[in-house]
Amino acid sequence: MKLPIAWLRDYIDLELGTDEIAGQLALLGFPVDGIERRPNLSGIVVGRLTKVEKHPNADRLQVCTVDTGGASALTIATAATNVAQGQVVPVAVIGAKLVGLEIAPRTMRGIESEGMLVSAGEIGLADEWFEDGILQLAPETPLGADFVKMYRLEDDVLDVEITANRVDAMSVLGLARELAAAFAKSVRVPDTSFAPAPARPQGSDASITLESPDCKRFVAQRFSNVSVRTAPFWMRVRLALAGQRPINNLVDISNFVMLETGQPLHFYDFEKLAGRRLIVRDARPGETMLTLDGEARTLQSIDLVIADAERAQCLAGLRGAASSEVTEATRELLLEAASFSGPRIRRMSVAMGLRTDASSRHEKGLPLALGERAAARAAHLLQAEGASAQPAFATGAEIEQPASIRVSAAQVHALLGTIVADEEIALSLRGLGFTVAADGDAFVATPPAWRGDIKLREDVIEEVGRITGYDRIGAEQPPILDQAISSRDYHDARRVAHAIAALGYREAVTFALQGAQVRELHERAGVALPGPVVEITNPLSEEQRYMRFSLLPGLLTIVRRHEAETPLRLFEIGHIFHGAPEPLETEMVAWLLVMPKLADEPEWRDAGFLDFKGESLAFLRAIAGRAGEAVSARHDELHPGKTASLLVDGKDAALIGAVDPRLLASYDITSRVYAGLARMNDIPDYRVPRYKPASRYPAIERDLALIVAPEIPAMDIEHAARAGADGVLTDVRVFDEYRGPQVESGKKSIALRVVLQRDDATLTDAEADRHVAAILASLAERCGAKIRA
Amino acid sequence: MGHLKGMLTGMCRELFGPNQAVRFRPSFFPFTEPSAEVDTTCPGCAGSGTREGGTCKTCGGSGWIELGGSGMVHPGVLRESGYDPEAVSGFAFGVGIERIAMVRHELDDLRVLFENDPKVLAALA
Repeated sequence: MKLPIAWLRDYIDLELGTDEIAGQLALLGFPVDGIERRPNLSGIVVGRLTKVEKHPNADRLQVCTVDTGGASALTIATAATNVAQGQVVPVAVIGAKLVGLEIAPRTMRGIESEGMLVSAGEIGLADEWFEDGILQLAPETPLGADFVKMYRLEDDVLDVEITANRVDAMSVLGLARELAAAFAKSVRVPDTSFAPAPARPQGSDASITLESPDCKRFVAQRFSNVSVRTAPFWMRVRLALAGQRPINNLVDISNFVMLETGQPLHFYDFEKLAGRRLIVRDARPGETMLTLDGEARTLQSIDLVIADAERAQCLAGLRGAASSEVTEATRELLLEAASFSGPRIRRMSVAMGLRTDASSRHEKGLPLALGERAAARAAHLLQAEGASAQPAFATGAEIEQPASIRVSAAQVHALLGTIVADEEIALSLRGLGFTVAADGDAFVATPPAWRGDIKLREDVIEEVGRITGYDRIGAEQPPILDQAISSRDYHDARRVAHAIAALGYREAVTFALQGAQVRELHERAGVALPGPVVEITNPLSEEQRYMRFSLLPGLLTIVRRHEAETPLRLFEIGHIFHGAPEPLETEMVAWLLVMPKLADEPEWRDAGFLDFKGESLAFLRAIAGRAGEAVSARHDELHPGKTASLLVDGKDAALIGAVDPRLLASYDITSRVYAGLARMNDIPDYRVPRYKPASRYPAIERDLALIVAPEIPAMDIEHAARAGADGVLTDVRVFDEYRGPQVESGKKSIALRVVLQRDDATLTDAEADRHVAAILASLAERCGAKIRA
Repeated sequence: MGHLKGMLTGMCRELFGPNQAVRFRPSFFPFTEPSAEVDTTCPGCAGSGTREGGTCKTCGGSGWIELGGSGMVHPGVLRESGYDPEAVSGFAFGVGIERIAMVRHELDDLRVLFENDPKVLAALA
């Protein structure tokens, strides 16, 4: 909210500059997002044009005689066209400083001009918001008065952030109250006095009916003999500094009262209301209205309207209708100062895509007590403009007396952790408008009517803390700080991250929310999704509509951008989501190796996969403290022939493989990419390796040449060999693979080395033969392997 | 709230150095009452607001950096979680991890954290 310091000073005397005020507001919980510095101005006084004549030598100039209260009148030539005898205007005298110019004596076509008449732009206000020419002041403005001081034109404007709970502070008066409490000053309450026209014996000539419970309270007031004209300069300058364009006295009064008190008002041209009545009701579906912004709107039943006997005349809390707009012809006025259900106005505003200064206040739920105050203030200002006022009348809920809350100094100490004396507690709360009464060793505090946010003792204690200053709260080590609070998940994640980082993999963090194109890339590649993709009900953007179903897309997106930098090693620990209706959340680790494609490597040989398998087993060894084993497996995102499950103690710990080439193609990746995937829940515990004495007896190595089908992976052959051995097999390894003319067509040749050894005796050749025969039998049975002839 | 400030001060000293202070500013969060925004001494300029003869770029000259939100757990939250607000109290805080990373690694642009450039990841590892 824009807070002109000039306006603030109407209600509170502060001998402080902009930065001190901004600093104090921040300490009260209203951070200042920006400061609009006003120009330096001087030498401008109030003057009356006692004579206006045409310049004798120039068609476009006029010569004014100006009375500025001094002994002698000034002669000033001007090119402005809106000057006339009798006007009271700002006059810059010789030596005056304005925006971008300093006034010096000047001869204009033979006439010595002793100053300049001032327009809006020259004092740093928007020219198009004010008179087309010289600014016009009220006739009673004292001549010779310092114009800059009188309207505080040098005071800066703060852009203040108001927290959602403080609708009462969305006003100049509200922020003045806060500063008054902090500096122990008093607030000058705005004048709300007016002389009501004698009450009509038959009551008001307007009637209000509330058909919807979402209008809590409706204060109405009738005004007659309204004349529409330019508002007084003091009001226009305050509105302009607050960023509100002055329009005419009626519109300006309604904006002024809203910015001053926080209560939005709406003025209806009473003579345009059918039946001279207003009804607050749900809109009828399909009902139409033309709003003041020129939009023809079709309403829905969620919309709350204020209607006359025939049609909707206002979108509650948002904007009025053109059909009852105040115009220059308006003479009879009906004022509305209402309090609506905040959530209803919010839903309406969102559904309509319309947010106004009024709705930003109404959507937070306005205190019921504000209506009468704002209406009375408007009545005072309208009466100053010549209107006559009937008494205001309210329809709807009675204003409830705020509940009293008991609070003691001990409770303040317990919650804030700092000692605040009784007198300070009472002073802080009274400064904010609370009624405070002593009650034994405690206080009974009753919040002011405008503080609907104060309901609990904690709310009251927060007020004490704010006003005495959060700086007083000392930093004290809590006793629990000595106890380590362990988290199993965190510990596991760090263990995994350190182990894989030690192998040269770098940790990436990608977004858990994705757009639809991520899933389309999977679908285009023909790669099945792991389950129903979880969609966000209210996504912030289309790019954040879906929860990620796999860690691979995020990592592949990095690979696509940095493919030239191979070899690349990346990993990520994060959650994936799938399933319906209840989404399942699984924490995963994924690691990726990217290698350039070797030009001379046959398609069936994949050295990169062997490297990756080795690194992945080393990773598993580091986190488990024991070796894992690879067996062939399947996973939808991985190449069917180049996928393995890594087992530790026979249990699945991770999946590794070459990423499905179709998926790589849909990401435009031409390198070879290998991925490992593990559920964090499947990561084995670390077990300290136990000492086992090495055998003192010699080992026997046998190399076996086998013929197998080409799709049988080496790891399955090793696994089958291990399964056939009987406790004496200490190592088994496929060390060569060959395909070519010497091998029968449709097969491949595998060279397998087995190492046999006993712990308790020398293994004989005969025993070794027997074991090798058992291994071959297992290989034949499990892999269809034959000894190469 | 003194304990909350003490714990956050301890955390900031672990993260940024032994001379860190913590400042509270009143704020509003629905689940805490009272609530506070948390600032800590700007590690870029040790709170002076100036660095290398100019305005400190890390804090924009204020000498403080914003860390996040905090407060005393709202009694309604305690009650809904099965605790008696007359018998126990609790504090809560949330700190933007990006902010900490930016200050610790002296990043000049938040986007660096989301780009995952392998060269940057290797440099920060």
